[in-house]
Amino acid sequence: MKQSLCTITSNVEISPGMYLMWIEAPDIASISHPGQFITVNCEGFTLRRPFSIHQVAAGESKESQIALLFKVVGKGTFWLSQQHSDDKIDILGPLGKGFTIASRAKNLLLVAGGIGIAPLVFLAQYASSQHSVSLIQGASTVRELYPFSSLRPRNKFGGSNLLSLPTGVQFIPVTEDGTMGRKGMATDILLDSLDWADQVFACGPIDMYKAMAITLNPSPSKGESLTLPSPSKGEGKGEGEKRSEESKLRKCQVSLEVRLGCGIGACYACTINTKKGLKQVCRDGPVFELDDILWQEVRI
Amino acid sequence: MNLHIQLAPHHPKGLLLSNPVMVAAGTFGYGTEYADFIDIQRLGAIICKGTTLMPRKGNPQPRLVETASGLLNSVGLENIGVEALVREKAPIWANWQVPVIVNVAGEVVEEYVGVAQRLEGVPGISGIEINISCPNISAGGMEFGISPKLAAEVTSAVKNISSLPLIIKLSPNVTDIKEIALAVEEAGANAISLINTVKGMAIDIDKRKPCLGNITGGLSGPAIKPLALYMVYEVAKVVHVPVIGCGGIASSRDALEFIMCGASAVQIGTANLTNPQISLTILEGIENFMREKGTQDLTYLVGIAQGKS
Ligand SMILES: Cc1cc2nc3c(=O)[nH]c(=O)nc-3n(C[C@H](O)[C@H](O)[C@H](O)COP(=O)(O)OP(=O)(O)OC[C@H]3O[C@@H](n4cnc5c(N)ncnc54)[C@H](O)[C@@H]3O)c2cc1C
Ligand SMILES: Cc1cc2nc3c(=O)[nH]c(=O)nc-3n(C[C@H](O)[C@H](O)[C@H](O)COP(=O)(O)O)c2cc1C
Ligand code: FES
Repeated sequence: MKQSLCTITSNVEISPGMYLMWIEAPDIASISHPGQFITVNCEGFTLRRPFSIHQVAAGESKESQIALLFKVVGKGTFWLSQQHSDDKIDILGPLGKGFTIASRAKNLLLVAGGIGIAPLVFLAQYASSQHSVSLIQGASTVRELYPFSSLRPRNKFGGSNLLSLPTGVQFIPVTEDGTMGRKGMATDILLDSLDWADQVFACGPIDMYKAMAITLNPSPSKGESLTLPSPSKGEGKGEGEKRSEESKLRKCQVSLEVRLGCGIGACYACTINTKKGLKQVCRDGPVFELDDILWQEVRI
Repeated sequence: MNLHIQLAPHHPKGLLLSNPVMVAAGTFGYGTEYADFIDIQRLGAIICKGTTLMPRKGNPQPRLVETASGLLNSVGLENIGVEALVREKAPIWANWQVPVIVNVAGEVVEEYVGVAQRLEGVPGISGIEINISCPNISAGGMEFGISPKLAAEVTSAVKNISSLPLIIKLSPNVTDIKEIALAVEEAGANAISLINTVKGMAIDIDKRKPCLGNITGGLSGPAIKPLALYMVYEVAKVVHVPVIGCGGIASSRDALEFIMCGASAVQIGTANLTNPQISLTILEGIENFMREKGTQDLTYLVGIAQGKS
């Protein structure tokens, strides 16, 4: 990891309130792994802001640029949205431990809730040459979906900055209002696709993870055994099949978001309790297995 | 140019720093975490995370909230405990040139003594900083820092069993800080550091509840600098042991203000989180200042603003 003053090469609002920023950062780009993040020193603020590495791209010789995808939610992200190409920013990274693809996994299911798509696009890009990838994104409405160029040809935002869907990646949009793709939540589709998937990766709000975790450990009042609701073909499933799906969900790798201080494992601001003991989200994570987190203790 | 500072002049081992820039407890881990970003060996000293007899889990999340020019934290002394420190960290420090000082915390006098005893004779440890000022634990901690009698009791208890130079770190959450400073000096402190964080809180008006999981926390960062500076000024006027200034230092100008108020050395805390390279930038700024002004010896600047109006 490195701290460096880097040059912004572009910063574009690709959907209302959502920005895609490219930064020339060869030292970081060349060693970044999907799921890792960087922190930005937003001028005038005490705490650096963390952002997932959203994409890396080749410059003249090797990977030399990184992209951030961020949503304006407060003062720091607003500051970031006002930065322009050729401006310098102080970034530190790559930080944390990212996603791990199991050696024998072929079909990868990626599940994004809203802006949680940020690290999963990098993972999809990274994995698409060797794996079949399905990328589900749940959003409240069509405008909140990731604007892959092929999906939004006439978008007033973004233009040529938009990413085309990498080959080998199937994008499955889900919207709560049904304005695009299936109507509902990302987690509804997730359960249907478990069958196909060898491995599952997720990034989204804490409530999405909690919903997934409840599938694994329903409260005793609702029945003592684990039941995976599977609306389309649940009836026909054998016990063995159900168990394998359950274990896929248990091992699902999720990227956690907590308030960070240092981002490098030194200040203990980000500690959470897991089945494997206390962990620093910034150093031991941000990626953890769904079933390792003690969700009832997570208050973020 | 001479930037050396002796922080424990009357102690047999002494505590000689190559320069006055130290990093503050809780913001710099065990030192190793920062080795990728800066040459930590160039620091005056490193103070490690507050250490207790047994490992501590700390407080519930969220543990941090940013405030105007500052930061509230309620980490609550999560740490690996003194055994793991001696086993895993001290052997690394033993090979370092930079002195490492262990910040010690506890709930009762016996705990401070127990930790100090375990540190006796361990290679790699150059001193102890007693934290009698942590606002984030319910028992002990700051209670020792707000009563001159208890503060003196902890100081002499540790002094009696430890052969290491002893720094006592004071809390700003008191009515008269001079009184506490004099009490710990009398009880045998080799140096006094101040300040720890200032007790505070913040409310999330959308959720209608406190922002921190622990409800209250400790305020640090530039917001507390004028307050810290005043307290250093007050304490340096009355004690005869070296004073170490801490609180909101984010630039070499800030550091020089503390030095001119009477601090022999400074600690950088929250600013490390904003910029991991800041401590060495501050050191270079102090060097430049001395070069520009033709100051040969840093000790000449210590307390130079005292007694002037
Ligand atoms: C490992 C990691 C990766 C992240 N990746 C991305 C990303 O790729 N894209 C993206 O848009 N965002 C990402 N985030 C969240 C992002 O860091 C926060 O949105 C940002 O710090 C908010 O800063 P602000 O100053 O704009 O908001 P503030 O003014 O500080 O706060 C505005 C709101 O954001 C919330 N908030 C502040 N900091 C955080 C935080 N660290 N985590 C969660 N909520 C927070 C506050 O509670 C408040 O409700 C990531 C967070 C982490 C920990
Ligand atoms: C996240 C965090 C953790 C801290 N942990 C400790 C600690 O373990 N022991 C201690 O004596 N002080 C601790 N402090 C206090 C700092 O060492 C310092 O005294 C205080 O933050 C004021 O300095 P600053 O404004 O430069 O940060 C902590 C401060 C922060 C922000
Ligand atoms: S943010 Fe400091 S330890 Fe994780």
